Amino acid sequence: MTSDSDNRQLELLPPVAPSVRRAKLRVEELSGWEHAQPSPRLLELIRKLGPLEPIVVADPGSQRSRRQQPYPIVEGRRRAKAVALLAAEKDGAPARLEALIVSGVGTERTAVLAALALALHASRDDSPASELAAIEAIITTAGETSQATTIKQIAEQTGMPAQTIKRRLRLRNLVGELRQAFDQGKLTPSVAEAAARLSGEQQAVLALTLEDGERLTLEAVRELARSQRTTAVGQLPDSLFAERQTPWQATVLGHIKAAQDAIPDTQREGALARAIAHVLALAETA
Amino acid sequence: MTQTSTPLVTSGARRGCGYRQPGGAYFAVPLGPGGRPVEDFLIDPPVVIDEPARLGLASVGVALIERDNVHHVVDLVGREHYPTVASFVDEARRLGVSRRAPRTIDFAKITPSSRLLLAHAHADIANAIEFPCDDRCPCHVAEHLAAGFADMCARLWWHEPLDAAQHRLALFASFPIPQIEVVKDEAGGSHATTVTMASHAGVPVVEVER
Repeated sequence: MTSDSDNRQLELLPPVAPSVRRAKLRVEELSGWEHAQPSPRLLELIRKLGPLEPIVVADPGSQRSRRQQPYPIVEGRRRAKAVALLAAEKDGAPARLEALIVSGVGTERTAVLAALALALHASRDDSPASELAAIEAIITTAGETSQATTIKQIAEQTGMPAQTIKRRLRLRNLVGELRQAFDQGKLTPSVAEAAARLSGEQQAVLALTLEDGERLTLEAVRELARSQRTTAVGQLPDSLFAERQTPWQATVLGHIKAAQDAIPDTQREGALARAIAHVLALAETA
Repeated sequence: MTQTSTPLVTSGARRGCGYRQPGGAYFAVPLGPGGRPVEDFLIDPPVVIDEPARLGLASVGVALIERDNVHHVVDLVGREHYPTVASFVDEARRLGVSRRAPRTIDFAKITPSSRLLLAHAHADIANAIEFPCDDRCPCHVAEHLAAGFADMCARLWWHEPLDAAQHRLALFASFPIPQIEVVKDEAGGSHATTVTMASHAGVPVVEVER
C-alpha cells in the first residue's frame, strides 16, 4: 500500500529548458569545489590542455551581489578544484574557468540542481561523494515520500540506476568521523563502502586509525571485519551448528501438525481432519 | 516396469516471497517420507543478534560464516514477505524450505556439514514476560514447560502481532543443507550457468521445473 505522499510526483527536472549563458568565472566566485578530489590524471590533463569543457553552475540570482552569493557548481567540482590547485602552483595566478550558467524556472530549487547534477553524472565517471550529497538533497526535499519511491523517481528522471542510488545511500551508515572523511575525500569510495557495512563499534575503531593520521586501506577494513566476524561467530552457541536431540513429544506434535496442514481446505471439515485434531489435542497433553 | 529414482525436491508453489526465479539457485530442505518436522530445527529460545553487521549480515542477501573450518549460511528472512516467524515456519511445514542463494556466493564453501541459519527481525521478544501464554512450547523445551515460565518461547510466534512487543533480530532455525535446487529457465537457459556455479558445492545440485 502506498501513502498519498508516495503518490506525489517529485519535480526533479526543470519544467522547461533552462537558459544558459557562458562566462569565464574565478574559482572564488564558485561554491562546492573546496573538498573535491581531482585525480592525478585529471590534473595532468588540465595542466596540459586546460579545462576543455565548461563546468555547469547555477545562477545565484541577481537580487544579491555575487560576493555574497557564489555560483553553486552543478557539475564540475573536481575540474574547478584542479584549476584552483594548478593556479596555486603558478604562484597565485588567477584561477578562472569557463562555465555554463543555468538559470530559469526551477533552477533556484536545491532538488532541481541536485537532479541536474545526477542527470549529468549518470553519463560520466562516478563521483560518489557528490552523488551522495545530491541524492540526500533530493530525499530531504521529498519530505515524507518514502525513500523507495524517491529512489525510483530519481532513477527514472536522471537515468542513474536505482542500484547505484542505493549503494550510495548505504554510505549514510558511516559514523560521523568516517562520513566527514569521505566527504572531504580522505576516504576512497571503495574503503567507504566497505566501512559502511561494518557496525558502529567497528567503524569507531577505523575512525581512531584516521585520527592517528594513518591512511585507511580496503585491506585494513576487510581485515577488521574478518577478525570481528570470527569473534562474533565464535560467541554463537554450539547447538546452532549441530543436529540436536529433540524431545519425542516435539517430533510427534510436529508430524501431527504437518498432517493437519496437508489436508486441503475442501476436506477440513471431514472425518479425517476431525480425527487428526483429536490426536493433536491428545498429543499436546502428552 | 522401470524403476527410476526421483530426488525429493521442495515445492515450486507460490511462497511468501513469490515464485522461485528461473535460473535461480536455492538452498533447499525438501519434505519427504521419514523426514523430521520443522519443529526439530527451530531454535528455542532464539539466539539474539545484537549487531548483525558483526556477522556480515546485510538487510538483504545471505552471509557465509566460518566456524571450526565449516562454512554456514546465515540468511535474514525479511518481514516484507514473512511478517512473523510463524508465517515462515507454517510455510516450511507445507512446502519445505527454499532460500535464494546469490549467484555470487562461493558455492565451493558449502559442504554436507553446512547449516542454513535463519534470522528474523521479530524472532525474539525482549519483554516476553508481558505476554503470558498458556500454549505448550512447540519445541518441548523442558524449561518452557515448567509452570509459571513466562520468558521468550517459540510459542509466542503464533500470537503475533503483539502490541508493544520489543522485537529483536534473532536466529530462529538451523537446517541442514541437503541440496541446492536450480530452477530451469526454459526461455533464457540461464540455469545452465547457475548449475555450473552451484556444482562447486559439496552437496547435490538438482534441477527443478519451478
